[in-house]
Amino acid sequence: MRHIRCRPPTPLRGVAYYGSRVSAYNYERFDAYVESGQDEREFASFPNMLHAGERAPDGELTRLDGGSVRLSELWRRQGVVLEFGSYT
Amino acid sequence: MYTREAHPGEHLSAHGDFEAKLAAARRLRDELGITRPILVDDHAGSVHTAFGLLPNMSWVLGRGGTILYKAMWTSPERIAGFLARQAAQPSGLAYAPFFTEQLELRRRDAAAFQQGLERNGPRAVGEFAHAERIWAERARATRRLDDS
Repeated sequence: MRHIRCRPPTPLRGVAYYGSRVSAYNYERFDAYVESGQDEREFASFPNMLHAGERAPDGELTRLDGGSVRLSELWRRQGVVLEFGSYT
Repeated sequence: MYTREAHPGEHLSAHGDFEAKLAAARRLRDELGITRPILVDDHAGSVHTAFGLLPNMSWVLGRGGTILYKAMWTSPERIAGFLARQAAQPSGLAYAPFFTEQLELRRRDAAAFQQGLERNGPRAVGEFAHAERIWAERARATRRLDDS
């Protein structure tokens, strides 16, 4: 059988390539994510985006205890302390 | 706010779908005893992306959504101190907010972090070790550029 070499697919907008797998966000390998340089870009961008005094982005989230809520509903009446994280 | 898995491994892999993400968030709540409300971002990480994609950042938002505090990492002590200063601030027409920027230090508990990786599985441990070698090589490459 003739071996056919294929070019990798054209990167999709908003999609990062980590190793040989396409991952829009949920990378499977931490080392591949670091190797891609994406970690460096994210940490370098952070000081230059969304500054104190500006309005925070809004978005819809699922409450683990049921239902959904927009961030703007939470901050409408009181301040919000937001910590981002995961089990791992 | 629950995000993508920062260090996926055999015991908890990257979320294949939103249901998997919800299950992981429940594990965090139940196994680590989190009592604060947990909000789960969508599978694509839309809100996480909008706020900058860092794995453990923290933010304090005022009424109306004004950003009052943003940090690359989470320090309960720093946040508590900031909230205490906010509560003590006077108000009135004689006072106006102004922007500041500062660097903070955080204590790195290598043993606790390693335990966390081991809890995720041997692959998480190995991949982090590989990442450390990548970072070390990047730092050497940067020094070579600076020296040239």
